[in-house]
Amino acid sequence: MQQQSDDMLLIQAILQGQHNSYAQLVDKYQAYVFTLVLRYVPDRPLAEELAQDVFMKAFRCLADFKGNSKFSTWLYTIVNTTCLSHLRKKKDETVLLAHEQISAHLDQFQSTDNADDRLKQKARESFIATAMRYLPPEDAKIITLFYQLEQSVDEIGKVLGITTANVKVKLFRARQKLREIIETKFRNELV
Amino acid sequence: MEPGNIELQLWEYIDGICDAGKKAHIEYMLSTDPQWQHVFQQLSALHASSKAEKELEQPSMRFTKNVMDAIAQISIAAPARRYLNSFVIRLIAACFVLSIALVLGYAIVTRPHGSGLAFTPDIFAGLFSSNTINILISVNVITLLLLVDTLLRKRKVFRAN
Repeated sequence: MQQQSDDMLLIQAILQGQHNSYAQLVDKYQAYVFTLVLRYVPDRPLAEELAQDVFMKAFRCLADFKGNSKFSTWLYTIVNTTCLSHLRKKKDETVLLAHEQISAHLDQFQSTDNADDRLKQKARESFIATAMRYLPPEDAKIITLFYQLEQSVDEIGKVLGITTANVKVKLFRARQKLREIIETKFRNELV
Repeated sequence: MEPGNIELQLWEYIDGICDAGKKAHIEYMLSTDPQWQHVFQQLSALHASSKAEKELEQPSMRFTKNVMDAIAQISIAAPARRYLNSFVIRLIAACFVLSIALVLGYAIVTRPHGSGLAFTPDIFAGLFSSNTINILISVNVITLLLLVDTLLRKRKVFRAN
């Protein structure tokens, strides 16, 4: 709630002409937007370009944001439409990480008998991120929206333009696939 | 019970989105059924690990500056509602409906005696010979086109936002 009111104060200042205040919003949400864009387009330079487009569109349409939802939800809706529009034009395909790259990355996370709990937790978190790269984009983005971007099921429905019931089904399927990937490739990490 | 069905229910329980009745049922199953307990343990571990995964991807250091340089060239657009007035759309729709009602009313009033209210082709036989009616029909068509254009424009702006 506090975050929402902070965002509204910033937006009102921007609409009154203090355009430099928009940098604060960009700083606050750039990582979230960039992470979500990467779920659609794994190429980092391209993803950064799209993320910039998202913020430009958000700035242009800022007067249309009335505060009926969280600013983040509204912003992620723009991410969705921008990325889908780009993908329709480019008909890009998701490139999964090669198995060799995953194996090399996993070598860092082999647990030993006397591993520190904090290191184990850190390793466990990172393998989730790695496992997510095996997910198809549709599943990866819904997992990202729910866990990393902390959107509720209703908010995800607004972002993706689908019903809440549909979100629940997609989230369930995405979690099933993530679980299968982890059980197949990262069995020892998930304790 | 199928494992998929157990998982579906347990995820609703973990997310806190099931109703009181379902919650009570799940808690009963968790306290009595080893299969439910086993699946719940696995799903809880996955849920906890996923929630703990807060590391976000970071764009380049220049990202904010690039955005601010880009927006210096553009201005904030006026709110869509200011130039797409719903009242105008409703007015156009009302004119359209009224025009149709007038044409039909005229057709009924000028129908041949004894033909009742049946909508036979004879009722409209004399319609297109009248200039007044032809003008009204033209107005109807133009009003319809205006309405469709305004609605499509509104939908386009909504989608773009």
